[in-house]
Amino acid sequence: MESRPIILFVDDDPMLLASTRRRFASLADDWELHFAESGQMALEISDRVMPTAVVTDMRMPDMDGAVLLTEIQRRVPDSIRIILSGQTNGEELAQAHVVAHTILRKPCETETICNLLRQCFSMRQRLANPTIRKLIASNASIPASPTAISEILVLLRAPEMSIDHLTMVIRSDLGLYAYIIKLINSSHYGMRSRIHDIDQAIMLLGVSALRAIFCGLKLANSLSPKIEEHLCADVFDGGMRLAHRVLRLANHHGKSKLFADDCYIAALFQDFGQLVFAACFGNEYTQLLARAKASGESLSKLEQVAYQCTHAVAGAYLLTLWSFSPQIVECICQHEDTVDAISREPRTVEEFVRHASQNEVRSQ
Amino acid sequence: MPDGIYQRMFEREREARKRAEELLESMSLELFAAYTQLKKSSEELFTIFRSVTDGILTFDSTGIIETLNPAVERIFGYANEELVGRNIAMLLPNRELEFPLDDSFWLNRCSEVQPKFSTQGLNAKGKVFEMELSVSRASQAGREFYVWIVRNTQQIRSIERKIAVSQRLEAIGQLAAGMSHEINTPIQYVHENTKFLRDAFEAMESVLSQVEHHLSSDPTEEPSTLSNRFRELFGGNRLAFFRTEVPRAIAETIHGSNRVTSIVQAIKEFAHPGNNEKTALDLNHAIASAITVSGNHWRSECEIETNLDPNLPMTLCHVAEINQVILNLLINACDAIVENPMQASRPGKIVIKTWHEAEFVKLSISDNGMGIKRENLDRIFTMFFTTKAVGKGTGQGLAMVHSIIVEHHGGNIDVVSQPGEGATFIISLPQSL
Repeated sequence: MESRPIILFVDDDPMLLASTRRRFASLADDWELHFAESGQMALEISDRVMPTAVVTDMRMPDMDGAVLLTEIQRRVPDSIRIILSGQTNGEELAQAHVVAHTILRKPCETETICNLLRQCFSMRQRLANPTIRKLIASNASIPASPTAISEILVLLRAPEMSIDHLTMVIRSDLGLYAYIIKLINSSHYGMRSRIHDIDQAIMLLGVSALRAIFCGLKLANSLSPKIEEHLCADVFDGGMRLAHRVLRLANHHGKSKLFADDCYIAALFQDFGQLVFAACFGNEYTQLLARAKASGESLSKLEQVAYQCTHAVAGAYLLTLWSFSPQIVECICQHEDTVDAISREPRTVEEFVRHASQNEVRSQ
Repeated sequence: MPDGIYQRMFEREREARKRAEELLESMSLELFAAYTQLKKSSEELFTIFRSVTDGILTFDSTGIIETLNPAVERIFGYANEELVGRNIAMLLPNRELEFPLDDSFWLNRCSEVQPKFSTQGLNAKGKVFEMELSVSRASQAGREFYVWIVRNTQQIRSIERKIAVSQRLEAIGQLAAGMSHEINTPIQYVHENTKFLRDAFEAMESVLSQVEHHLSSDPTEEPSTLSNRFRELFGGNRLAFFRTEVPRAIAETIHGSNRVTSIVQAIKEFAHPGNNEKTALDLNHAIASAITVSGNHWRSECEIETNLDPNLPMTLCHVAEINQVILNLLINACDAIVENPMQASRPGKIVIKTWHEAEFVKLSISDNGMGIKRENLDRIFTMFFTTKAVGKGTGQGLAMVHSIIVEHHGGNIDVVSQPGEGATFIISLPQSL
């Protein structure tokens, strides 16, 4: 059993910290809470207690939130890093996007922070292997195909970035796709409802903010192992096929647009974890995939043996850190579990995706 | 008479006539050439007169219009024949006519006295517009008359006004982004504290209702049992926690909501709709507002010290413009501190002072930032001159400050700077009567 999570709150306004302390007081039995009024103080506490999660303000004198989290990322690589910012400028937050898993916008309900932390903690607990936990949480790169990344870099160098071209590159790569969704749904951008439409998301973010964010990510991505091109293509094609199938199924059942969108995303990112593993282990994981394919052994079992954790859980963990909705993440987390064939009408997102994927197997 | 004499007379006559004819011919040729030349140059002058875009109009000393060019027709919307022979007064709005439009009126407005001035004109549609006028006095054959050169500046004025408005909006837009940061933090803790108070009240309410229940249920109960029960109720840590935290939460909530109120108040004053009337302004108050409004810019970079004259007279000014000036100078001072490479070794500080001197209200803003290089000192008030990095400044801020203080208010602005040590801007404004 893990010891209870340790959370460190950082804000230069003592009154904001006091109100947070009061609101979290009822959770003091479950979580260990620490409060710091400056980046320096936060680092001292962090070295002592090794926090599970850090929630920090962005604009502070001496050391801003992004700098603090970069340092925390180095010292406590598996920490969950959240920025709670009053700022609205997308470009100013570009550096923060590279090191923070989620950016929340002030004013933000304590319940929202609490729920996000709870989801992260529970998903983290299911990811038994601490090494993988560390790899996923510390990695600032995007599990995207090298071709897509280099295309983005070429686009960045052009004096005027074409938004159409950019959209094309992003929507043909699962890693970039997920990353854009993470950016837009970080409630920082002020949207009430979640946005899953990638074109709309890119428009809302704007080219200049994206340019700043991708520039920041350039270095991070050059340090992590390259994911093999064909794996990216396989995972993307598989996700797309299933996503379209489940979308048709949901529409056929007369489900709402919102529900159908959730199904679509849950299906599209079903095997996102394979990319996460590939970004962590490179060639070693590609060989494991090949072995499963050749021998017909269960991929989950092989992954369990090798990493004490499946790609489903790994993918779900990263998407949780990126504040994807719990419903979708839960569905991705359990997609490899064996469940009896559903005889009744599908109801939940999970059942819809399962239904679609069983139909797919049957039709092959 | 002998024939020879006749002959000679005739010869002489013929000679004379021939010479006369030759002379006449050459004279008429000369005359023709002169006439052609004159015609050409008069045509040239006439073409120039007709084609210039500025209106040219002449009238005699009683104000009767004599000649005008097509530009005058365009500017005022009248045809030539509608103006010639009429009085110049028809081209001026009534306001101007409070003065008798006699010879001395125009004499005082001649270019020797007043080179070029802005006034208002009245066009054929009865619309008043801004025009620029220069008047000169000419005389020809002992007859005196006046020449107007007139230009419609209505469009230029309206573009200038639009630029001024858009600059103000741009500044307000930049502020709004910073402002949301200023407001979001207090709103966050006001909101969270209120929720905490709701929870605290629920907890206390449950204790109170149990107390009430115990007191009413069994009147014969032993006091000692009763007090035991109360002791039980009050035993938990939770109530003690609420009793210490609730008063603090209330105090901080009030503090937070005051902060939001003062920020909103400052924005309201700052965005004071600029009407054209000058109103009396308490400069000290305006400074306090500007400091609140721009908090997001300076709070993490430097501290601000104020030394405000408590007996400062009011100043008559365009309030929105003066607010803009204070804010521009304040943000400028802050930028000078941030961009100073020595910033790390020296904490940033801005000092704002007000005082009064003779007929003037004075304001100075000093910073200990990077200062202004000697070679740039003359250029800082020039439009679009900036030493800031691309995207950090458009070079309009100080130019705007200059135009507001000097041109709109008849004030004065001085700058003193020691490169590397900082800069001080001193503004003088005429005080209100």
